[in-house]
This record gives sequence, C-alpha cells and structure tokens, in this order.
Amino acid sequence: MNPAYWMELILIFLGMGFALIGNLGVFLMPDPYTRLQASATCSTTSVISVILAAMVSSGFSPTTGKLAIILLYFLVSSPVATTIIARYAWESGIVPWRRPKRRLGKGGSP
Amino acid sequence: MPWDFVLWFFLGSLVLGLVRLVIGPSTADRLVGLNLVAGQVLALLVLLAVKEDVALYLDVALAYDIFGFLGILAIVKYFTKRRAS
Amino acid sequence: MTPRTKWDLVRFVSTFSVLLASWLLFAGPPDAYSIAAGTLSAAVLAALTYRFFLDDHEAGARHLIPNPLLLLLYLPYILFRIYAASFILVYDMIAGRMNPRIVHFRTRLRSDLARVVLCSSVTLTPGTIAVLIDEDHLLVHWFNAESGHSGRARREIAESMERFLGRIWS
Repeated sequence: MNPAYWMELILIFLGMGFALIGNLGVFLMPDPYTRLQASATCSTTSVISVILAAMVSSGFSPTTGKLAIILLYFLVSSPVATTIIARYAWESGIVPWRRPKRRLGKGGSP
Repeated sequence: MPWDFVLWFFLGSLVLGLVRLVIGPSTADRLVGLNLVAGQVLALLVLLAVKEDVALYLDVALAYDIFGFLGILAIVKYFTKRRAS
Repeated sequence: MTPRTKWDLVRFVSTFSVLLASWLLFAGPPDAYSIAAGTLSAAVLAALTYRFFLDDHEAGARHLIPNPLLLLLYLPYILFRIYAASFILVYDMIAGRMNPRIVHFRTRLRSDLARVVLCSSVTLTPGTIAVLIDEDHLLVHWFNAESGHSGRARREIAESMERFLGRIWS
C-alpha cells in the first residue's frame, strides 16, 4: 500500500460524505438561502475532492493538466452561479428564514 | 479502488437533489436543485473518465460545466426580465 | 492619437491576447489551421467584447496586474479555507446549530478585480454566501451568525482574505 493510494481513498471518502450531507441538506433545509448554503458548500467541496482524487490517481500525465483546468474553471464558475441564484432570490423578495426566538424563562441564547 | 460502488453512491445521493428540483415551491429552489445536479454530474463524469481511463470524458465534463453555468445564467436573466415587465 | 483611442487599443490588445492564450491552451497540439482559426475568432470576439473585459474607469495598472507568486499561493490557501470551514459547517448541520442572518459590511479593497475575487472567495467558503455586491458594499448570508454587527462580521468573514488580496492586487 503506497501513500498515493491512501490519499486517493481518503479524498474519495470525503467527497462521498460531503455529497450525501449536501444532498440531505438541500432536501431538508427550510428556505432557499439555507438550501443554497448546503448545496453550494457541500457539493463544491465534494466535487473538489473528487477532482483532486482523480488528479492523484492519474499521476503525472496530460490527464492531470486537463483536470487542473477543469478545477480552475469550476473554482471560477461555481461561486458566480451561487451568487447569481442568491441575488435572484433576494430580488424576487424571498425573506430569509430566522430561528424563532425562544420564550423567556427557558434560558439559553436565542 | 471500488469505482463501481462510488459511482452508484453518487447516483443515489443525486436523487435527493433531483427531488428538490421537481418539488421546489419557488423558482429559486428549483435553481438550487439544478446547480447541485450540474455539479454532481461533473463529478460523475470525472469519476467515469478515471474508471474507464478515457480522457475524452474530461472534454465532455468541461463542456458540460460551461453549458450548465450558461444555462443558469440564461434562466435567471429570462425570469428577471419577465418579472420587470 | 488621443488618450481615449490609446486606452481603447490597450484594452483591445489585452482582451485579444487573453483569448488567444486560452484558445492555445485548450486546442492541444497546434497546427496551422487551428492557429489561424483561433486568431480570427479571438480578433472578432475581442472587437465585440473589449468594452466589458476591462472596465472603462479601471485604468490603474497596479489594480489589474497581480503579483504572480502570491496569486499562486492564494489557491492552496483558499482550498485549505474551504476544507476547514466545510467540516465546521457539516458539524453545525448535524448538531442543528443554525442561526442564519443577513449581515452587511464594506471592504477596504480598491480594485474591482480584487473585490470580485473577494466576493467569490466569500461564496466559496462554506457557511457564507455573498448575496449582493455593489461597489464596496457586500451583503452576506451567514449560516451560523454570532452577531449582526457589521465590524465583527467583517472581522470574522473577510479580514484575512482581504489582507491577502490587498497584497496581491496592491
């Protein structure tokens, strides 16, 4: 067992975990902004992990260069798409969800 | 490396995003689902390229990413225009 | 030649060279046909789009040309930030500690390009999404907000990235 294989395995498992959490978050969260948080963050991290694992797996070759270009393009395009969706939601008047304040006497910070 | 299992796992977790794409109450929710599915399909294409060792899939992945981004841009532009008029 | 036409020419040439460089990067091994087609299409595209590529008022060279070594260092830095914040976000989601808020602050960066990169970095870091950016105002949706205070939000979210970007695009 060489270290490259273990690194690849760890990155793939991180990608799988973040993908599952991100999809569950998009399914369960209460309003578009928090869904966007779950989707944008966790799916971005999982895609980055998968691409890094593929780069480690293919070693030093032209494939790695192509993967690096894909990673750079993804790092540029994904946050722009997320910001555009958030701005669309903001301009169409969707009010962000707030945690309802706890009643007095229960204690704890709101 | 159990590539088959990883591919099926990604496909299975993608179903939840697809459900949000179908049932989302507002347009913004559907766009969130679309963005998520586009990112996951990019990951699937990269995994497929590594598993089958076909570098052509990477070009497909890059083109898919570019057109997914342009599609979201076009949809947002279209709905913004229509709401303003 | 007035300064206006000179500035237009500089914008056209820089747009053309960036387009041609990315074409040569993507086209693979160059032959005569691909270089000719790339030059032609880059010229047409640059003539159509040089007005948007560099904005009209963005005339300072130090605002446009980055420090290349620090720009290369910024990539691993932002990857590390993404991973660290994403573990925190997953922990918050599983423990159910969510307190989303919209906060608002102003950046100290002067260059448009640095502001765009700061906006993208804030969105890319899990837990925060930049909703609107208008000149130097940022509107940020914060997943687990500790307070709605503007200065504190800027310290927690953007200060370190801002310092780094201020050194890249001086």
